[in-house]
Amino acid sequence: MKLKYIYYAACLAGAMAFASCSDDDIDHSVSVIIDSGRVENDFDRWLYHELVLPYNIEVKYRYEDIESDMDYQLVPADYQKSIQLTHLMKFLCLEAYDEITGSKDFMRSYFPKMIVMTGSAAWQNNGSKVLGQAEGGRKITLFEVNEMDPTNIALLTEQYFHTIHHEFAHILHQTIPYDPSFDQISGSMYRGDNCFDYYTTDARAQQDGFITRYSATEGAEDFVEIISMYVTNTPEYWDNVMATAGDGAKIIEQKFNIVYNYMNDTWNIDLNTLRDIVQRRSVEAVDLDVDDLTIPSDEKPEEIPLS
Amino acid sequence: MNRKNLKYWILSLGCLLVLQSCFKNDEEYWDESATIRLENAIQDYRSVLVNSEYGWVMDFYPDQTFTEGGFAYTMKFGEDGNVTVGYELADPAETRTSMYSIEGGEGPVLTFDTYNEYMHYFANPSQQNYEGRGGDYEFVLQRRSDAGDYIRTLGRKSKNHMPMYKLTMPMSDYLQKVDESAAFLTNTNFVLSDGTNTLALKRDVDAKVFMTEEEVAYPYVYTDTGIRLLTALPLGEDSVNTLNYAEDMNTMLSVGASVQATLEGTAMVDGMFENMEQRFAHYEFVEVSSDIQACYDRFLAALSAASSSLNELSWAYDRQSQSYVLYVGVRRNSTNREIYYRFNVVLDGDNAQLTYAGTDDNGTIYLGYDGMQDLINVLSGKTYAISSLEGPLNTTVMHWESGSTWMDVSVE
Repeated sequence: MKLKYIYYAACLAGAMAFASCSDDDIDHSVSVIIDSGRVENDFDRWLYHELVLPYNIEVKYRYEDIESDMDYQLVPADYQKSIQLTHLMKFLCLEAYDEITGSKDFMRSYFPKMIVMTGSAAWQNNGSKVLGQAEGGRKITLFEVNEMDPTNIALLTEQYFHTIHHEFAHILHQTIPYDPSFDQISGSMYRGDNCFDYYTTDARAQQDGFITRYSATEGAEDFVEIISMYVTNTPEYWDNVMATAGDGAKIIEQKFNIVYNYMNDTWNIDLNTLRDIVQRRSVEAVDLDVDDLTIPSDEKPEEIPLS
Repeated sequence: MNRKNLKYWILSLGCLLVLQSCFKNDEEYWDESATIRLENAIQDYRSVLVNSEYGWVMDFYPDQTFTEGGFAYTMKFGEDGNVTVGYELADPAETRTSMYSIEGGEGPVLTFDTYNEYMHYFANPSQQNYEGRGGDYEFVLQRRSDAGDYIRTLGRKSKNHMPMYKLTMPMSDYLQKVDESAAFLTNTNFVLSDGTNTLALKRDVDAKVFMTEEEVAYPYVYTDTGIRLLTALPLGEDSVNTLNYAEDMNTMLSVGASVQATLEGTAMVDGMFENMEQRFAHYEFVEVSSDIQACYDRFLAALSAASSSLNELSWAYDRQSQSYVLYVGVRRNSTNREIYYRFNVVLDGDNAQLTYAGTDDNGTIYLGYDGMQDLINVLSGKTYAISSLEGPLNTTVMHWESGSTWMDVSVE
């Protein structure tokens, strides 16, 4: 290329450089974040004191389209039901781990940061419904809150707390992986999304060494289902499963040993102790005042410094 | 292209790039940024909603396809973020309270963001109806009147426009009047007229929808004074959106339209019962002329002599054959029999010509009973003028008259 063409190109580049805009005054006093204007109520204050400050967990009980699942027709959660479910979740899940670990630090570090409550179930066109789902270890959505009965702890455990323990266990093994040999125990037996078609009952799945039908999805789901089922059910339930699972009992036991050792060695959590705590709290939860929004004036939780 | 031309082209392009840049003489269309305008709009709508003494009524249309009309929802917004809701499907005095918010979306968006049994009634899904009945609970606030007594909203899912009007009476009073408006409107056939132009309408009673002869649907809601349509009814060059009952409750008069239009029910019986689920829809005889009464009495006596009794004698519209029948219910030896004497009905405005058109074997038997053949002879071959005894909008009792023969019939 001749030199003069290089000059032309340089001129053109210079012109383009100067074509950029002149000084626009940016008004730094105006935020682009629009004030929601929501009026803080007693539940908001209670949540801030009981969940945000100690655990850094936000409970979204008011419908927000951005946090909703657009695949489903949903309605918002009832205010009072949200209060009741939050009380029970705190008592049966968060504080159960607090009790075994000796402080709130563990849950503050690892528990999902957002709980979204939705009033209706997420009904699908085949007549089935979704009661809970989790996204990336950050958010858990609980559905059908409007239908919950705060006195039926067994049903609540099946509907909600099983899901919460399940999703929390995912976060733990995603933080520190479990022994890869776990996935080899059932190996090619995992069925992926066909697990519900292949196993029509949990009892049938247990015969093949899966604690629930959903366990047969893949290794990681199998791993967390064992934790969740173990701590949310009584010892009698577990013993009965082992007694009726036939050849599957040995497989489940083999998996459980890995799970137990992982929780004990990695997180210093003895699953037997955790189960005792959860089961004891499930009995005590009946007497819990799940509508109480009193904030103890003498108790000031430690605020997490912003960093 | 030779090298000289190439040089000029590059230089020209360079000049153009310089000239196009940053000539900041663009006139600002808005005085403020989009964020500030949205924030101001939210504050404005919140203020307008909260400051209505009695609250608001929304013409709520749940159905995207408009196969059903609208429902009156009353709502009172509080400064504390709570909203109290009533609707026409509940007792007028009953309300439910939940929360609301107004936030930025595609404009200010009013959201009923905690569960309200009434507000979320249509949106609530179930196993049988996984998409609910389509009801919205998020509304884009599109514009309002300067006086602050009207807000145009858009349902975020349905995309239906659902206007809100400022209430001038307590919510329970308004819903009570809505109930009354619904109770007064009992006819199915109407004519909208301004004296020059007319529009014939048929009303789907259950769905709250007017249909034109061209099968165009015009859903409506009941108001405290009459009805309000989602889309205005066309009448010549004009259109009519709101109709209020006249003082005598016999007609409805247009409100706010450029034309003075009147909506009148007609006493036509054609298709009146098409939407009923039962095979027969009955007009019970209330009172009849002496010639009909004489035949009736003789027939009763003949039945009695044959150890039978009369369960019912009425006009009926047979949805199966889409014809009108004189319906006779007879009880004999613990057995009920239904007998039909068919009539051809030719309608001409509010006139109906009746001609006997035969019966079946059972009917033939009872034609041999004294009085029945004469009764048919009295009724048949006459043209009856039909009028309503309770005003054109209410045809629960109709008067059929042909000379000295007449009958008052009541819709069962």
